[in-house]
Amino acid sequence: MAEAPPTARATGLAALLAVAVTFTPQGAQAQAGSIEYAVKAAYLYKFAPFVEWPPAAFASASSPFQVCILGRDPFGASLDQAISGQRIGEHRVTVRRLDKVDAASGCHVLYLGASPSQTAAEALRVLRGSPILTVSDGGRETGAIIRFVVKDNRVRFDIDSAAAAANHVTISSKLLAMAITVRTGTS
Amino acid sequence: MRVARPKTSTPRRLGPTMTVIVALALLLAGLSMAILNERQVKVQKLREVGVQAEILSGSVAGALAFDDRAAAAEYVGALRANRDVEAVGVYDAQGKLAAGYARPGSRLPQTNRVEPAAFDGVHLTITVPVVQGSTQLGSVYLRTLTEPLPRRLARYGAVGVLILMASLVVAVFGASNASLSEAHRKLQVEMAERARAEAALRLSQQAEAEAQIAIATERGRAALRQSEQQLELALRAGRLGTWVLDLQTQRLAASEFFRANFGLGSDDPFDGYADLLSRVHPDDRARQKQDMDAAIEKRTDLESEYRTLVGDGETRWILVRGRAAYDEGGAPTRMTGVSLDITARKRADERQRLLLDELNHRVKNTLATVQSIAIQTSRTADAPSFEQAFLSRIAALAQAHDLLTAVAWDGASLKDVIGRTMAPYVSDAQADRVSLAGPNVRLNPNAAVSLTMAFHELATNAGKYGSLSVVGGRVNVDWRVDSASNPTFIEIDWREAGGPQVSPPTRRGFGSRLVETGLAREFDGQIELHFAPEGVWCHMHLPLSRKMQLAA
Repeated sequence: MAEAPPTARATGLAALLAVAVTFTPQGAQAQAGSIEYAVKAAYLYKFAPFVEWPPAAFASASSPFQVCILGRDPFGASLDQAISGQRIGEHRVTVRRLDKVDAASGCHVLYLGASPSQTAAEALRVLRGSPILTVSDGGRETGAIIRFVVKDNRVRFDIDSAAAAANHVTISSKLLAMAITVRTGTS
Repeated sequence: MRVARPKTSTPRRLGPTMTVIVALALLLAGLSMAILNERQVKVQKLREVGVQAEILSGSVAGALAFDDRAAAAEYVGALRANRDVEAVGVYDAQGKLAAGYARPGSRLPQTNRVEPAAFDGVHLTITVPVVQGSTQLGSVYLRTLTEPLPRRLARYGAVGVLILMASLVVAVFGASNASLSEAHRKLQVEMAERARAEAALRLSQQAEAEAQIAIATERGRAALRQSEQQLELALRAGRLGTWVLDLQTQRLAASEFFRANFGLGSDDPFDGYADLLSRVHPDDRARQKQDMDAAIEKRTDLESEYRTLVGDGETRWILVRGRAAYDEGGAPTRMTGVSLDITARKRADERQRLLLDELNHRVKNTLATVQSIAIQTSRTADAPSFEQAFLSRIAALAQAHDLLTAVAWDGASLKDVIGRTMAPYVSDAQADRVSLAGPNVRLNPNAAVSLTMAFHELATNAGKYGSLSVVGGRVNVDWRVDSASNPTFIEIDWREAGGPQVSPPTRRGFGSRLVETGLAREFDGQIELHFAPEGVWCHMHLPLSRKMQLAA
């Protein structure tokens, strides 16, 4: 199956977004963008339970689960708030903001923001084969495993399972079922 | 015999009781099965509903994680097809309802908390967490009907009907079985009574048969005893001994009398033919064996007389009669017989023979004596006196014979010999004219005859010429032996007194020669005959040899 079939999903978030738009006409764009990234920030660690990393991805059983932001951070404090006190198993969730990443950065989830030091494509190339769940944002293909998309005023995502396989991370079928599209071939 | 009556009431009561017990057991078993079934149904239902809740939990994990309530509602809606599900809800991590529905009459809680499964009458409520990895994303609430009451009633009703039918079957079977048991018991009782009757009859028949046998046996025994007693009596009366000789082993079985024939008691060893032969007189052994062998060989009756040695040099004569028995092959097996002590008869025979010999001898002697008397008398007497003298001497001889015959020629006493010889010359009234004095001396027949003839001559001379020829004349005869206990000779004196004066005869006549010569020669003795004037005196000195004396 190349893509999961699109389903009509009316969610609370959409309603929330709608309400936010409806009751905040001024700066609605800024509000909507803020909510969108708050949702995306929460998603960054919510993906974790549905993804399986190889044991080598963690230095120890109690080493932190690192969510890395490459380049510009669109989430701001909402990300810190979202992951504050969260744990993935025995691993405490931490946030790192980096201008440049490589295989030794120790990231488990990497959000590919715009960085003057390293483009997303470069980062992906450097990190190819490393057990990192890469997440990109925006409408164009970047080669990341997960790509946020907004559809029907809801934050959704596509999944490139081939990229996941290349990075040795296993994505639960439950997460695949939530994706708008699932790409299985390499781009 | 007292026959115990069989117990009749207990088995009859046991039938229905057992039936009720079995029915109750069936009922209990049915109830147990129902309870067990109920539990199993609950467990099964718990498992089924638990699985449904888990499936829902797994299905809605993504929807809860990414707040996709539409997706959650879709998964919840899928359970509507199950009419047993009365209420179902999906709650987020904070316990708030994300999606769910409730059938009419049921209520969905607005908040949920994970709790153990709970049965509530016919309802089951299960809550399970929604967990992804180690992260709890929310929870699921599921409330279902375990089993509708009508369905349960129908199920248990069917079970009840089955149990009831089974109980009925048991009851019918029990009644039938009780009836059969009663019939069986009656049959058993009848069979037992019949067996007892047959046993009693058999015992009676056996007893009767035994009694008859006993009577017959007793009669037979009595007859046998009588026969044996008669035989024993006959054997004892006849002093008959009995014996059986095994001809193959040579063993001998001898009766008391047969043993006595051999001078043996009942305890003395005497059980073989060799023992018998050793006690047969050596001169008769060969004959005894020959007689027996001949009887066996010729199959004739054995009849044998032989002497037995009974100890102390004594012998006895026995007559033995017997007959051999033979086996199928004709071989002699044993010989049975009787014995009789014939010693007395044998001795009588012997004595008779001796007597006949003696008589023959006597007759010859007597005839010789008569002849001698006739010749001598004719020489010494003239014709007219011959007859008297001869007859007188023959009479004396006859008298001596009479005396000996009276004692069966067994000898005579000296006193009798002289007394009888003197009797014709003195009447009873003149008995004192003769005196006889001396010890008792027994003479053998020869001596008695000779002395009779000698004293006859002396008495005849005294009667004719001597002291007895006149009134007042006397004859004194006295004799003595040299030893009373063991005499060797006897002296006899004949003295005449009171008679006419005696003058010695001119010639020796028969009487003188008989006395002086014949007697002395016959007995190797010495005879002195004196014709003294006052009377004749004869002195005899005779040895008491066997020739003369029988016994002292």
